[in-house]
Amino acid sequence: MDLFNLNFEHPDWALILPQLIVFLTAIALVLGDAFLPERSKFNALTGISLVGYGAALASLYWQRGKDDMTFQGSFRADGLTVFLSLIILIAAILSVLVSANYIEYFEDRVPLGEYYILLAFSVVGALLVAGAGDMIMIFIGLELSSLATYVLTAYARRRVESVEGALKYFLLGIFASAILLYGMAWAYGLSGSTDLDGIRAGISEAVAGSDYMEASVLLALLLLVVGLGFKIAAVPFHMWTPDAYEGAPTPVSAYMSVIPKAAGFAALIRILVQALGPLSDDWTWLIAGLALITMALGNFVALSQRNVKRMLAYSSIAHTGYMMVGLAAYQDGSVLGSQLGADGVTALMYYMLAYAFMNIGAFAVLAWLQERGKGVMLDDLSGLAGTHPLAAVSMAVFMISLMGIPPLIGFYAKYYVIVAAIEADMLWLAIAIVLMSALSAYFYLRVVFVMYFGQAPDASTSAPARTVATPLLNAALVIMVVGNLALGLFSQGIIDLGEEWNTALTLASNIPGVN
Amino acid sequence: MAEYLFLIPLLPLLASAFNLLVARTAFPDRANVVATLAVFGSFLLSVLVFREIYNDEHALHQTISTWIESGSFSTSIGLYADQLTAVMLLMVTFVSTLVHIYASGYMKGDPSFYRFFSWLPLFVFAMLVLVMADNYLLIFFGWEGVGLCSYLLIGFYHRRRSAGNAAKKAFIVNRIGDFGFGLGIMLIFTTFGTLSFAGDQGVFHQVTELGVSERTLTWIALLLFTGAIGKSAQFPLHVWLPDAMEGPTPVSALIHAATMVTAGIYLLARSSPILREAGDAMMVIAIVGAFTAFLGASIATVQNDIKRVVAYSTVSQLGYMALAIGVGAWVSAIFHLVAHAFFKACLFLGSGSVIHGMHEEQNIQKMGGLRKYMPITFWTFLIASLANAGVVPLAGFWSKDEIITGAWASNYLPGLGNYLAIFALITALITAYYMFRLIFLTFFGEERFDHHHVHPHESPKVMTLPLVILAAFAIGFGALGFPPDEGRFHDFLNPVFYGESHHDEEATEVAGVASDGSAVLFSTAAEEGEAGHGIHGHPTITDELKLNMGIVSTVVALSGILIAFLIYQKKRVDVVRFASEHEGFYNFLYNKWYFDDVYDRYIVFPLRRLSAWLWQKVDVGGIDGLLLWIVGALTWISGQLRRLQTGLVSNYALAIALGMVVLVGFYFAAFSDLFR
Repeated sequence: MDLFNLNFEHPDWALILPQLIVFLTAIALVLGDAFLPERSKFNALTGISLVGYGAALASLYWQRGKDDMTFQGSFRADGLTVFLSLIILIAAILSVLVSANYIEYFEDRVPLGEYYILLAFSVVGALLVAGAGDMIMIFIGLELSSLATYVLTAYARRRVESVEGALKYFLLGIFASAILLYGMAWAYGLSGSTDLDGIRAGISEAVAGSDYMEASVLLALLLLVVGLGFKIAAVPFHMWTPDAYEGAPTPVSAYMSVIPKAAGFAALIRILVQALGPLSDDWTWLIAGLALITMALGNFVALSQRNVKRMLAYSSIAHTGYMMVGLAAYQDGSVLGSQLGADGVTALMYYMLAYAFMNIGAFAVLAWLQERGKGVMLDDLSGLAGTHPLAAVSMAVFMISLMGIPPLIGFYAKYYVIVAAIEADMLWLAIAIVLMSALSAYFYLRVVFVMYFGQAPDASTSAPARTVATPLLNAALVIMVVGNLALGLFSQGIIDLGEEWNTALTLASNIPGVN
Repeated sequence: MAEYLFLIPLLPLLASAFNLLVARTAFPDRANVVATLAVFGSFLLSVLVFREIYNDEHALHQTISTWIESGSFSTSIGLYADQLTAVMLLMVTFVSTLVHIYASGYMKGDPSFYRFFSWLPLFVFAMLVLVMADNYLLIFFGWEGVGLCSYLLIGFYHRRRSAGNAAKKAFIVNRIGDFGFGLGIMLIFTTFGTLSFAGDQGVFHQVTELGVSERTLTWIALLLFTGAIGKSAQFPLHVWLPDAMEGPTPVSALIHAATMVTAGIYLLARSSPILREAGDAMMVIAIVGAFTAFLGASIATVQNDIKRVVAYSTVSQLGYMALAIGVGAWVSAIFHLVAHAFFKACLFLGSGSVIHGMHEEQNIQKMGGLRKYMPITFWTFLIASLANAGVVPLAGFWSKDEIITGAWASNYLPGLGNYLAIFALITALITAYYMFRLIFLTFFGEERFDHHHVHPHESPKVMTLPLVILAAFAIGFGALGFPPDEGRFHDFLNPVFYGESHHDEEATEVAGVASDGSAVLFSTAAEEGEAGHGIHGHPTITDELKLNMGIVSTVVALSGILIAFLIYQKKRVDVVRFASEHEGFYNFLYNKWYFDDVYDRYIVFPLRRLSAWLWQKVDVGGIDGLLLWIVGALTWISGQLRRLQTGLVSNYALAIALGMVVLVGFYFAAFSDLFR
């Protein structure tokens, strides 16, 4: 793109409607926090957040089927944007529902308004990545999302683990961002463009007609993968995850286990598939290898965790590994060749949707328990089925879903990924998923076992149970339990929606000189 | 009527569910009313079905829904009713109704009254599905259903250990037969590509029109017969039936005499188009049947438990039915099946009445002279015994006589038919003897019970009425089978086994040679005989043969009765001394040919040893040990990997940097042009 020859066309605002709505929501939250009376803040700000995300979610309905770009190609509205935005917005709504009561009553009554504001800007960032058509946009979106998340992690500022986790996250985060930016610079240097389609065109020329690649292309690819690997918590760039998840307030852990990860995967799909699709023969093996060690390390270390939050952190690393398999199963040029299930990218996106329901659910139950005076260690869950049967049932559903047992949504998510892997001739990866799922049964079922067969602590010795009403959290739990039970059964419709992602490639192929 | 077929099995099912869910708490003592009405409703519907088939002479077919659809495999839930089904329907629902009425009196006061009347209609449901199914898989469903209900009802008095054991024995022994049946179903599917037997694409049509290798058909027939061996208590799996008498007597009458045990015979008769092409299998069935008949009769001669005598008699009679199937006397087999259902149900209900009147005493050595105390029971029991012994002109005579004649006329091997017939005649002699040993010991002679504690009395009307009805049928039913092989019963059923068209063409064709109507029965046989298979090569059974056989078997039956009379009434022989003089032989019979002991020692005991070994060594030692070892290894790995997480942020950054360096180094070495 020639920077000195900008044509001042009017941007097509309709294309960025969801992002715009969330951005305006964030502004409204800032104003509301500043001017609303203290008493009504909780209800008003929660309401504004929910309405804003809800409206954005509804606006996706009109975004469907669009295939266009605006802001000189830095923003795209296509099938991929729609589905990624869907995941992010659903996760955002669930996060608000989970957070509301917790933030109001716990962690020393930290300022509620700022929490929602940070959350909203983080969501805006993630949505921008989802619809990015340009490397610059991807970077800005990721940084916006990450910076807000760093602060959210440190939100329980009086608790040292919270601050420590946030600091580690922040330090390593800027390190990774630097690497990512360096990779982007290499890609720009190679192709002369920051535009994703432009990079694709440039790279195609660079790799054409040679058995081995130019080292610079490979370096760009590797630096980009390392930088984004940090965001999605892939091994060995995952080290921040357990500390940050454990230290952060539980609703924040729920949030950041899904939305920054979704943003990271969105960036990976945009860059690897849309821009570097012609190199897929090289990066699929890279992703496959990282996926293997990621799922292996996540599951193995989760085995010996007795802190449930920390166990969920490692489980989240393991699930990153499963999702990466979907990306590894990408086959350039035969996007819709799948007969049995979904292609790799669709499987990955379905997995992210499923993951939002399972993982936020699991953290939500922990938050629910914390609000009733319990801890997050395995022993704190002992005998839960006797004292809080409904919470125990919900937790059991989420655990079994994370494990991947039909008919829960976690099973379908794994199923599509496995099918995609097999169709991409990566049988070994499919077998690895199955073996690792078997291993994961140990620590997921241990939670269920402890809840149902463990001895409930003596009521007289334990801290007096606090009786707080958590209507929003309860509603979120119901939604997620139902989602886990039902969404798997309607997976075909979701898969059909997901497969529209490949419109992201049609624009590129229309540009002269590409393919 | 076809569209209402589903109501016939549905009514008992609803009654069962109702009793289990509602009557259990609402009115447990009146559960019999719902069950009896439902079964009676099924009977009325069956009469309508029978009338329609009788008038129109075509089969009714109702497809309810698709059951399983998977690749090329597709099975529907469909009901089918032709003449054979109609006969079975009438018999099953009629006897069921009577047994339900009888049981209302017999089970009165039982604490689990509602439970009995939940399982009994459930059994009727399964049995009706079995006889109405239009495909083998649905037959198998009913087959397993009746097996389950049999298990539940044998073990009805579940607090009694022997009842629990008998229930388990019945179930497990039946599994062996079911396994064979299951294999047979699979072979049918692989051979024909369908499990449905009715219709243009059905198995039977394919057998008759397309021709399938005789070898395959023989295997199918043998596997189906394996199922029948289990369910219809043929040698060597007959051992469960006598033990099944641990259940309440109405159960013995309905399930273990009239209906369920005849399911195997029904299955074989239903599969007649397959069996007819499988000569070797037919021979095996005939021989096993004849041997089972003899085996059961011989053991029945020395048993002292009134129900066990009748039970072994059932084994023996089932053997006759299998023999009839084996020699291709299809209609005779079904005729005997129905006749047997009437008189054997009557005998069982009669024994129940005796046991009831004797305060739960079952040993006939402690009875005697009961004739004057319970006259109705005595007379009906006598009539049923005469029928069982095969005395003119009761139902059992006509049916059994046809079987023996059919056996005589068969010739799989030279002379084999004659031996089978003679064997069957000897069995008939023994049958008459043990039935009347039972009669004389129970109803005549001195009263050997303790008058101070036992006061024999006649049973209430609700129990004697079914006895009278059944006895009436035991007398009158034979009329349908007269003259032999040409009665109305045969006219009605012939189309099932010989087909409408075959019936007309071949009858006229062969009639020219044979000049009598019996050619109808063996017309196909004649064809086969010419083709060299020689299934039952006798082209004709002459009237003379029939007459002679009738005379011979009457003489045989009367001699048996006479012997019993001389021994037990006139005391011409001292039984006790005779038994002690031939102790070995007596014990051999009394201990049921030592079948149970042999099975225990050579099958059950080694299996228990094997399972104990598998449990303690393989499972606990091997598998669990290996698993624990794996768990230990994984935990160790987990602990080691966990130490990577040092908590120091500089280490974390180092990990990222190292990871990047390793990746870049590896990829540069492997894929780039940098080192080329």
